[in-house]
Amino acid sequence: MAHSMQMSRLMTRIVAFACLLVFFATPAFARMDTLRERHTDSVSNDEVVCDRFVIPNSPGLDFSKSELALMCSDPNIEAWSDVTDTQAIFQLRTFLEQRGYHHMKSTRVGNKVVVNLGAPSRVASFLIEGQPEDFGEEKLRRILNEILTPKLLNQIEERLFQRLQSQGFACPVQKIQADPKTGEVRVIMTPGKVGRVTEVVSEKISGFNELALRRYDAFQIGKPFQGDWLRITENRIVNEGLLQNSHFAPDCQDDTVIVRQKNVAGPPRSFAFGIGVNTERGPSIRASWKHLRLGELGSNIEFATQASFRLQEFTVKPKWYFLDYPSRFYFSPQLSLKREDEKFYERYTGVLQLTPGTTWDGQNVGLTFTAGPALNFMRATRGPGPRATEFMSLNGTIKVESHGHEFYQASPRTGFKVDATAAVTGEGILSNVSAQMARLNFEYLYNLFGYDPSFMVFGLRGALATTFVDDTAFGRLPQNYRHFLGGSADLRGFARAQLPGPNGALTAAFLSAELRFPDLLPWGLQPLALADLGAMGVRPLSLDPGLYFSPGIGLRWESPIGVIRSTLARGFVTNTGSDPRAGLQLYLSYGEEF
Amino acid sequence: MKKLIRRLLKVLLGLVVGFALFLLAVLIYPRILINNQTLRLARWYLESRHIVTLKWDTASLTAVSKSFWVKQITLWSTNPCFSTPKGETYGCGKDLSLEIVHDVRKGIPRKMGSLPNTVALKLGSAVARAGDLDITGRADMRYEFPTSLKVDAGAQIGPDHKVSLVANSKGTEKEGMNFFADAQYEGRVENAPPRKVSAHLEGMKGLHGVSGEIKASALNVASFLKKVETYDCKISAVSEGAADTATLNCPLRLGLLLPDPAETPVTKYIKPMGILLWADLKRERSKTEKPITGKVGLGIDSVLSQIKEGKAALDLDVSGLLSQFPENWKFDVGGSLVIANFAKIVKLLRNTPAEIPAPLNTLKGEMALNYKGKGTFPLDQSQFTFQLATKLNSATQNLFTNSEGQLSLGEGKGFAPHLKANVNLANIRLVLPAIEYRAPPQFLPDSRFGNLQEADKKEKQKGGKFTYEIVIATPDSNPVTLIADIAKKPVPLFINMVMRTDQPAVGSIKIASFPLFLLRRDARVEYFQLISASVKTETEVKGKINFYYTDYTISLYIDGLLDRPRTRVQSDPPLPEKQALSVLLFGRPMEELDSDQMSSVGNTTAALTDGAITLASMYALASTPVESVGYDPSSRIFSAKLRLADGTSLNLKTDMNQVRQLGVRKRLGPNLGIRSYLEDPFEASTRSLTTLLEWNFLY
Repeated sequence: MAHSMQMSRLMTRIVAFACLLVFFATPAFARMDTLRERHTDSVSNDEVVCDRFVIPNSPGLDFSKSELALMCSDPNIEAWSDVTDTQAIFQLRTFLEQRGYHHMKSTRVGNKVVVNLGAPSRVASFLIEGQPEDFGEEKLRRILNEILTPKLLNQIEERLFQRLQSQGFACPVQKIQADPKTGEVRVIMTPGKVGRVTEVVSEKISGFNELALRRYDAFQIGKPFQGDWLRITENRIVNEGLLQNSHFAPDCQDDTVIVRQKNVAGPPRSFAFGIGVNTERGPSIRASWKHLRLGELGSNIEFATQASFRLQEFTVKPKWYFLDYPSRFYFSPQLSLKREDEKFYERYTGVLQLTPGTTWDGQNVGLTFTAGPALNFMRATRGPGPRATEFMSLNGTIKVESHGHEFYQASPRTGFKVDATAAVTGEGILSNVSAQMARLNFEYLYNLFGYDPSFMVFGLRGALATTFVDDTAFGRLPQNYRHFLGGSADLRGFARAQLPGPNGALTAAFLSAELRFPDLLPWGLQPLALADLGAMGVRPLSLDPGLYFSPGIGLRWESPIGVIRSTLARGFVTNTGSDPRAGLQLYLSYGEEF
Repeated sequence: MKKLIRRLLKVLLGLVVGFALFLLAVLIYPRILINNQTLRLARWYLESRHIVTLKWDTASLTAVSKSFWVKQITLWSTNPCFSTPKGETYGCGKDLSLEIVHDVRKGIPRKMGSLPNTVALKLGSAVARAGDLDITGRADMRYEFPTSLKVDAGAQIGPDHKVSLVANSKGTEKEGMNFFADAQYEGRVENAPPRKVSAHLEGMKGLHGVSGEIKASALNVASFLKKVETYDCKISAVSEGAADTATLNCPLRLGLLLPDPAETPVTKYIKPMGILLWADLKRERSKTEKPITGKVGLGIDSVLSQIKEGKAALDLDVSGLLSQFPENWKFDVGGSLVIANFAKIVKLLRNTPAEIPAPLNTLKGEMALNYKGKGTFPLDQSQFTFQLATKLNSATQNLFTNSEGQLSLGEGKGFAPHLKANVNLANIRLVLPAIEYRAPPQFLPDSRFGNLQEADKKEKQKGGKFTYEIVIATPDSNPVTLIADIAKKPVPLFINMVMRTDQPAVGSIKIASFPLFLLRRDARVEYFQLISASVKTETEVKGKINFYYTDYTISLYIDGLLDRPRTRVQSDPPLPEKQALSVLLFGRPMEELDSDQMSSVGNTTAALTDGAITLASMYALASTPVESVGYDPSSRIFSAKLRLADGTSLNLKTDMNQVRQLGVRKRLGPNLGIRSYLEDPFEASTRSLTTLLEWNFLY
């Protein structure tokens, strides 16, 4: 029965995922097809430009309308009705230079000019002068042997600028030159001094105390400037929805940096209505109303409801900055009411959380701490287990994340993150069971050899979770106090939450390792190798002898619409009497990272 | 004592008499001194001193008396050879004969007047090697004083060069001596077409002077010169009275080779053009050397025969000492070049590097250049002044300019040309090409590319040899006007620039007020100025564009440095800057924008603050409906998606990094997008992905 349910969910997921993929990827593949067709045509046929140039074996130069206007005579404009060969060739050289062809040769054949493009120039050597110590230019990849175009020079400048800013040089100046004949690229840098952020000057926002924006700062006043941390701060503000847009601009004065913050607040209220599909529940609708800036300190509240055939849910999520002055302390009570109608059960659940919390940021690490009680009610009208369950728990979470991990969240390559969660419930305190649950999740990413862009990223993640409960109360233990393994988040050679079985375990531990090659294949495809190891125990803080092991391979794609990952792993089981249906598991996931 | 002196005198007298008798004997019987033994002695001397090694199969040296004073010396040898001691140079001939008939009273010949009566040299089939160069040749020369000279010689030098000379003269100065010479050269230099030079000189020398005529032609003598010929070049030098005069009247035909822009590295042959080189020089005869004075001219009217209209001339007054030529020679130069039909010049220069480009090549009219100057050789003390006027126009364009300037070639401290000019753009009206200004092409090669080694050298030799200072200005009342399809009327442009060698241009370019259509509504550029106050300051930009709305006028101010312009927006009556920017970008106030559009306003503000938007991008933003604007301050990547008229989109720059980990929102239209998010991302048992078509409304 359980297997059948899992198959049904898997099918739903695959269908939803396929629809999503087709929806988003069609334009991209259409574009690829167009390019391929164009390439094929141009290989078999010479490219003729302006009825003047013949370019044999052209790779498809795709001149723009403006470029053609400067190379071709325009009979409609008397002054430009006779663009001469000399100027057309001059312009053609300029436009070919844009595409990396610096050694064009031409021959007049009849009234046509046959253009031999020659081989595109590639970067043979890369030299930086004036760089700061330990700049690490030897770690820069994707420069040598690349086709030498103005765009490449721009990219190099941008990368060096970002690298200098990330090393504390807020207002660097640089000059880049290249020799297409020798392939030499030379950069002369004037990085200036390492600056210290002395002040943040934020643009005024009507009805809002802009000092409240400082609670999102990933940098510290008085500490060395770090350009990447400014970007983290901007993302935090926008992701929370407080402002529609926020940007920092450094203003350098010798070794001091004043950071000026520009903001776009937008209206404070948002209403959203959506219709779509969920990978587990099928067709879904969702409506929400959110007040983005309540009061001068930017508290917020969101009312949201979503519905599908299997789930109907209503949530209220306020976030209240309750102190009288701008602070990182907040109070976030939450109310959630939902009805679930699954194949094997139907239940009504209510959760009320009263969660105060705070955040803290050092120069390189950010921390989030929340703790508070949660009251859970559950009424089952169909399916196994008790008909009515209610319990109150005290939950606490500490999340520590390095800024590097947060900065590269769209393309993970470095940093660490640790989540420690604890929940305590006591029988008699609005609960029918006494239990204590602790969970520690960690993740560590290392950019092997330090290349930029990364060539190999090694990732290690794991978790240790356990629940203390009397044997007699195990049957009354809520689902979220039980531990499961299996799935793309831990043991990828096993089905989702397959281990150890339907009742779960009181202790679970796993360790996953992954070696990813972000820059090995074209089209943003990143192959990876993985190995997961897990163990579980039916006793608190105790692991059974059985080991779960799943080696495998995978592919990650940074598509234009988000990250799509696929893994194929085989599960192996040792020393267990159970049959967890070990075998090959294929996972496709969207938006999920290691 | 007296006896002793007497004896010594007698001995001395005896010696003198003996020596005189010996000389007399030699004079009567020169073979006493000049004979085969002399030849062997000479060979021994040369070899012992390691000067040269001589060999021959047979050789004889004889001397006989033709009369008491006239002697004939004959050297004859078969298979004579010579070589330097190390053997790097050697040569052999099949046979050699040298005959010299000389009047010994003239002494050893050291100048023309003391030449032997007869010199005859015959060298048949000689072979020599000097270093890596093999030479084969022959020579047959006979000179009989004073009436006859005959030369017939030829040589093959290496595999690629061949020379020959035939010369003859007959007669005496008194009676008139006729002479002629024919010289030929054929050769080939690596990677160059074969060169041929032939010259024929014919003339007469009399007691009062010499006159002659030269016919010569040369093919491929230089990389840019395919053919040079002179077909009736007359020269004469006459001594009359107390003065010598020399005249030259030499028509030349030049066939130039110019690089064909379409042919790399092939060149294009321009039809021969005629030039008349003439000179009329005079010098007073005196015991001390007097300077030569006169005129030298270059007439190139025949060049202009191809274009039928116009004239050109170059006249030089020269003076200087012949013995110092050309050092310290002075000259005064003047001339003019009038092109009465510019269209024909356009045609003439077609497909050459000097081709007149569009839009100038559709102009018609005339150009006139006048110049004059004076100087002294070497040229570093020379100065020239010039005036250039253009009166060109077409149905849509004008190019009326007046320029004047001065070219000095140095100040006596070496050749260092310096051009100083004032260009007055009296009446200019030009049409710009139909390019898409929102996505303008790269007009010029990227200055970041180049030969780095050359750049290093230039850096070290800063200054260069040729320097210039050119002032370009428009009259206050008559700006340059540019016709572009972005503007409803011609764009008026006031220019006042000074350009100097190796320095950024200094001055200002000011666009005066003109109407245009921007943001789907009427607008007006009130002013737009590029100002570079000095070479030490970067070019500043100042501009103001007004946009007219029903209730208010929004002004876009642009200022700051050209490559990092800052922009601010003001309105009348006042609106907050972002409100005004919102109206500019999206045509609506902020309250009516969706969240993505508001984010775009913020991104634009930030990018403008950072100076990350070029003027071209700014124009693109202002001229096209905007879908979205993105900006990544880390890399300063500015991206904008613009909606084009045909319903397609133009990405000014794409940026994949907008994608976030746990949720993605893709905009489909105003307030509409696709949002994907993970629920319970860290809980394996309950994690799921929801994708919604979402309508989002901010208020």
